[in-house]
Amino acid sequence: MDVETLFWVIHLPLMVLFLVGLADVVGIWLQGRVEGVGAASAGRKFLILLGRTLRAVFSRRFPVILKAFITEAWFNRRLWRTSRWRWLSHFFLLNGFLLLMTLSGLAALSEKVLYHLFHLGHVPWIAMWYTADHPVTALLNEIGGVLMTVGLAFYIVRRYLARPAQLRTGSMDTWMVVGLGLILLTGWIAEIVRLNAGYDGPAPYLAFIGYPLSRLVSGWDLPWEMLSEWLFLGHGLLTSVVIVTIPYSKFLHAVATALVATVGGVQQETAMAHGGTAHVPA
Amino acid sequence: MSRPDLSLFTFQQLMALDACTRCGECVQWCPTYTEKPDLDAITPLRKIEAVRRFVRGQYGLRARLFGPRPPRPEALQAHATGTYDCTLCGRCAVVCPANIQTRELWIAMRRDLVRQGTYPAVFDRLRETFLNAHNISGDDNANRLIWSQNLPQIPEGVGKKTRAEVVFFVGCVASFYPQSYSIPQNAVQVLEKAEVDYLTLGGEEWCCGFPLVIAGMGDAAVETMRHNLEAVRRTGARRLIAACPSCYHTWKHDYPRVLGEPLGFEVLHLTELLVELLTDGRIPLRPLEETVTYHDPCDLGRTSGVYEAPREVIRAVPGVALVEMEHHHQYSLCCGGGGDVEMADKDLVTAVARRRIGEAQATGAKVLLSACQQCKRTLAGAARQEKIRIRVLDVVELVAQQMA
Repeated sequence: MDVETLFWVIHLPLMVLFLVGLADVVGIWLQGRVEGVGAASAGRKFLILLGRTLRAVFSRRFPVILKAFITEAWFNRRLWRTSRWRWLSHFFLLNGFLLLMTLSGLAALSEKVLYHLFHLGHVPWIAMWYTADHPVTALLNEIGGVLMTVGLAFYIVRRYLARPAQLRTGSMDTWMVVGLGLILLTGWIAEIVRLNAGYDGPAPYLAFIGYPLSRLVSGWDLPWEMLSEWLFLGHGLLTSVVIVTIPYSKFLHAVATALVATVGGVQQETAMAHGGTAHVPA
Repeated sequence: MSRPDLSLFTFQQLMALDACTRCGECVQWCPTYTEKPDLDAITPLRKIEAVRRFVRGQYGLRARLFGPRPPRPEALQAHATGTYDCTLCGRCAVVCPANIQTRELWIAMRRDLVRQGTYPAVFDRLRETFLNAHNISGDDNANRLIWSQNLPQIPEGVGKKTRAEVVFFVGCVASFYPQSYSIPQNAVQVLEKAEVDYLTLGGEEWCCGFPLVIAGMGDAAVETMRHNLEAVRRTGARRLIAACPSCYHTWKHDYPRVLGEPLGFEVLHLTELLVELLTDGRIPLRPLEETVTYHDPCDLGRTSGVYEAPREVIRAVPGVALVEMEHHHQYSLCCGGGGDVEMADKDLVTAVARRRIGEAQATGAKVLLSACQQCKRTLAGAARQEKIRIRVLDVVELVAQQMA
């Protein structure tokens, strides 16, 4: 079994587990009241929510939803107002993560679907996403990695070294640091090793951290190609394991906070428009 | 028995339990935790964490596979203490980076604690008093207008009319606590001066239900709410005004939601009506060379979004200089008098009020204004205790005092 097959054999069941976990969590949420309905089944409540969401998205209120999502969930203006340093740390982590996830998604889509299934590998703007050393891909991946690393470093310093009195650090916080830290560490090492194994595109130097580091260790007598394969397998599987824990760890806030912040923003905006009150009844 | 009833929470609230990152921003802003730092369970993040743990321990796949893990009694008790020692000021909601609407979440938690029978016993007495006496003090409800006895002349609107344009809903604190009598007394004088066609409901006014709603016993208040609604409808009024922010909030937001129908009349806080009357020139005011400061009542400001009306009224008095305290508008510090905490922990209320009166003193103002009888009562008590020479007045008292 080659390394890639091994990855998918382990990764896919893990993703099923992740989906089961997510369904479990959403199932718990759906035991709450939806639109005042408390006694209905989870399925019925889910349909009510879905209908309401679709009606809101395909209505004149869409700009309000979009605005709330951008200002509250993505930009996190409340954190911006409170502390610029914390905002920066969060912004780096979030956007680094989003960027890397998007790039991974684009790479998988363009290689596994558009290239292998539809034979569109000759289209440059499709091929570039799975060409690691393409100028755009190399640069964006590096930016994503740097953003996440800097954001995580801020987080570690604040939570474990500066330790302001307001913080209550628990095992969930530590798991988040360990999980993200290991993903980042293996990611950086895998990149350095890959660059020593050979280039996949014209601009490896645009990996402005990984490339110089790879040059530093290029003299070492190591089986770079084989190491690269196994390291990417480890990096990928570690990421899969962390994803599986999302529903049961603090990582869930990436989903829950985005939704709560957006919905809250929309409700407040609506309430302000109807009578000038900031209050939103439960 | 200690399994949370998830139908007491909304989908959004259950999701919020997972949205809290325990960043601790709320901890810095919690007025009760500041005064009681040894009670970590009082902090918003700990309340959320506790309920999340209770829920996850007894619901979902893990509970089904490995069996439910009910909370230890002491953990549940600590959570109940923290939840009932909260003034429901809602400051945590303003600063929460996740935009969690905490105040409603705390009330849902209280409802669940009531269902589980883990709440301060004093609330049983509150419910009993409320249901039997129709007010929070246990006084004979027929004496609702006792505050009017000191007026030089009792206006027609006070107990003599059955129909009017405006219903003045006095509220329990102003009706039965002598320290607050001056608020309705001055309010009716202002209404008389402005020739507003108003009436008070007297014994037909029952407690609005707010104390039970926030105690987590809102179900017991539904019939009372219905009674009040019918009483107001019988007067043919187009407007209801409340000097009490909690009554105002309950009428404006909780009544339509709980009773499931539009009220059929407009609900205003007294300060909103005063702005109208002043703008129309119906209350001419004499100048006053004085520096004053204003305390935003939690239920008027943060919870109901009324920040400017009281300030507009204050600025309408010629010569008055309004200075803000260190914390104002949505960041305003609680007076300590909210959330029924007075019933559970009086010392905590005093400590919170002391801090707020200190902020007022720091402005150099000679008068501390508010627009809430409970805030006035709490802050005046703190000023007296701390021997701080500052007059604590309601905005309507200032207006009545300066009427030309």
